[in-house]
Amino acid sequence: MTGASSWDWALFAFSLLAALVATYPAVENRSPVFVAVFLLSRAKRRSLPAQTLVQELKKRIQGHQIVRFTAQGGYIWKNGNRYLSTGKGRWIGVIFSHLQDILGLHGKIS
Amino acid sequence: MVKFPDMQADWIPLFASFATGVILTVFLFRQRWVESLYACWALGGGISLVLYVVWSTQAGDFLWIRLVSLALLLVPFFHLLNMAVTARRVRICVALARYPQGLTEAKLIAALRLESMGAHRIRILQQFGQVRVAGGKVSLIRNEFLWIARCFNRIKKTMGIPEFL
Repeated sequence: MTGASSWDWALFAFSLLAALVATYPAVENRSPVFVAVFLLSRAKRRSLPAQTLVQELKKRIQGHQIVRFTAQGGYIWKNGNRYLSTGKGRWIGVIFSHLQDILGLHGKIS
Repeated sequence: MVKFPDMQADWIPLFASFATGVILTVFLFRQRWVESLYACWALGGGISLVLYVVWSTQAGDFLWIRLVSLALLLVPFFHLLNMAVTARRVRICVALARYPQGLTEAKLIAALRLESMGAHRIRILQQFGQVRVAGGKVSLIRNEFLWIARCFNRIKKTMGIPEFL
């Protein structure tokens, strides 16, 4: 690393730390694409009706469970029959709604 | 005490390449030519790395440590994009940011758009040539994604994280 200055090492340390921090949730993530690949690999003749595959994927992601986990994480709270953002959830919502707009999603998420 | 010298103009290739990679990834994803965010990022990031190598070599200040730093910086950038596009908790927070008066549980679940999730994942697999869809049936025809998924499962097992299946 001839010629590397202190700034180079500082940037390297920062980027390494940021990459490590970002990697754990990536490993923890339960990617539906990989789940679909596993389901297909274990099916007879590595084939499934599209409807069955969609249903199997849907079965593994329970909407009410996600809402409950989000509340447990302190991002939202329940007031009567409605859910509202906490301070932390509001910040995340505002920042990512701008990012979604930049990505051209406008609330249309797959 | 570490002495930090003034930042020189020779940093321009690094930061300009990173910015180009970011802009290119966002542009590619917005165009929807490729369904997968990962593929858009791989293209944008790859071009960013090549750009840095070419630019800094021509300027005569190529450094391996900067190339590695650039590659590492692309990882959290992808994580941010991935959160914006797929993370379900983020979708709930975004839905509530758009409706600050609050939403019922049914509406929050609707905001998750779980209905379209399966079909979208099948389209991604199709674009990567991993599956063939014919006569309403989806068939796995290649193994690359399966190998990656198995590697992830092994890492998950080592780290004590629940596996994919």
